[in-house]
Amino acid sequence: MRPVQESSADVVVVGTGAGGATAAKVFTDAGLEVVLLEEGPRINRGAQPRALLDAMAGAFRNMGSQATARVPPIVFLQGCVVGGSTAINSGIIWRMPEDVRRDWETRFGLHDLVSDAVLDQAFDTLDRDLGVAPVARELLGGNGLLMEKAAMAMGLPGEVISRNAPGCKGSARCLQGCPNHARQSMDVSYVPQAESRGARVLPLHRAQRVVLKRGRAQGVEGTVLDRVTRRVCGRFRIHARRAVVVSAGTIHSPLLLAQSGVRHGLLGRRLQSHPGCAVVGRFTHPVGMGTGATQTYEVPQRSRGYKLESLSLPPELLTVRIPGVGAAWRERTQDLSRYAQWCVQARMEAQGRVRGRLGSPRITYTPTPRDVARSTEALGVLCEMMFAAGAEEVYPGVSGVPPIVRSVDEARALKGAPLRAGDFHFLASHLFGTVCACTDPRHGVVNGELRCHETDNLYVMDGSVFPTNMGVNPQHSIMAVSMLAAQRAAERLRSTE
Amino acid sequence: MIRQVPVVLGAVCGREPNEVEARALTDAWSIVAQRSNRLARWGMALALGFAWWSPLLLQGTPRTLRRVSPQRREALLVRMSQHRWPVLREFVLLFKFVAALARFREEQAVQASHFKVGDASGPTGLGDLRRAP
Repeated sequence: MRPVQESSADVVVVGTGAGGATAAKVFTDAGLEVVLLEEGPRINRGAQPRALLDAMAGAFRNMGSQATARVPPIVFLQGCVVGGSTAINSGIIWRMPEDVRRDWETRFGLHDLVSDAVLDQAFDTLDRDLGVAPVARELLGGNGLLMEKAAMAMGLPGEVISRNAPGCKGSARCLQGCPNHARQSMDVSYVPQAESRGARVLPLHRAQRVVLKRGRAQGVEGTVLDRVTRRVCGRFRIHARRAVVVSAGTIHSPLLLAQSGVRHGLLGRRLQSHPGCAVVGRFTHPVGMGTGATQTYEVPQRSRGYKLESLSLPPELLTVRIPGVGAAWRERTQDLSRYAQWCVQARMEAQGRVRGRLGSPRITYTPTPRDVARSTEALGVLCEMMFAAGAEEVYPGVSGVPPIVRSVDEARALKGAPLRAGDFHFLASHLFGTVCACTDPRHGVVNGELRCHETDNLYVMDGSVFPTNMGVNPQHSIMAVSMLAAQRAAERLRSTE
Repeated sequence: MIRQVPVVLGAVCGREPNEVEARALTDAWSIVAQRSNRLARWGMALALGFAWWSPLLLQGTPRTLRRVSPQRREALLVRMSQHRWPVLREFVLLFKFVAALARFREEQAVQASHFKVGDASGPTGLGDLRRAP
């Protein structure tokens, strides 16, 4: 029998991503004693792996192989490391759009979380704390500059991306973990700030169950993992004197709640996302995709339901996008300096579901025909943009159309191509909705305070509480909403002392 | 299963890897296989098995992938990469990914080449992979 680590804290937070780290900072600022649990390891400054393989093995959930169970298999990328997905994303910052705020107010009663007065104040605080600013001109990189050129040539509304990386040196290694700690992901910002005020961070601690008794969360139980093998090497039980906050992400939060005995018809349902795919263009001259920030330029097409972004990937991932096998593929991958890559993120209307158990979730999510049409149009626009920037050939990266597009007319024809969902290689990292928030307990698992209906002190603070997707990058919104909910929770917890 | 990796991935790259390169490929495959989830591991096993045995299954000849010509190996992978089943196409992407992981395993190789593989004249076309342990 393995020994059980026992301890206690005022608040136990499960997860160190955008939601969990923000909640922990707010609670520690309020003078509460906090324990932060994280299933993944902590990667210290200077220890970020250089090779993508090691980065994926160390910081990505299931090494980036978490995918949906049906056709098409959609990869759902999530971080599993101190900092959560903020430690592997590009640090793109968007405030919650106006139409999303109004929708959540009217349909879900979330006025206290998304009214302009409170939400914009939270965004202002986050902007200051994380150094949010548009990417500096000298960091746009060849990939971003080409996209800017294409947007201007085609009269598209492009703009430089705003990021939370004030000291970015343009090493294009966001995915592997910023080597300079310039990106203000949670592992270098709010987690250490919470620690400086007394929070304890326990990496490699996988929560298995929130202990619930008579409608109150009493604590969290789980297993301790070995750093190298990730096998179970111990157990823990942490008593929560005041509250438990579940911030395990959109896939694992509903599973943890279900395993803890929370019952609600919507738990694990309404999974929403922004799946995307990428287009590669080959140019006659070196592009310089290896320099500049990872993502620097974007073309928001909100009314069309998608957003186009420049995306500089490490060569290991770029080569996968280049068509062909054997000698033809080898030939095309000899000189990777002449490639540019841009991607589309579609705001899809599809809704999926998460079932199963922690560690082996069964995820189903199938894009609707309208989602596919939207993605097809965006793909055609991206290909056309590549030619506007001067590409000699473009690889759309979908089945059902020629693997190599050689003229702008061929690119335009792609917009109306009769593609099916199974023709795309989708990937998604923005996930929402499986623990939907709504003031009406029939339509939401958590209420307007992000507290589980029918429980006294069990909160959920991450992207899973978002009742809809947003069409923009969600980190800032997750943090702002979590900040507001945690501030109210702290007031409530202190008032019930 | 692991012994099949260099041959299948060699077919992806267009040439059969030498001993050192085969070891690097196997190493990269092992890490991917260990750290991915159960569904992906099953997929990888199926993909390898499919690529290994399909010449036998599809062409009715008693030969596995090792015994067919490089041209036929490539032809098989081209068929897989253009197949209507998304899963088969994903397998080819996975093969390419592992081959690329092995190729760029060492940061030195990436830095030295800066997205340009200097030595592609070796027996496999995997370039700097030769320097992998």
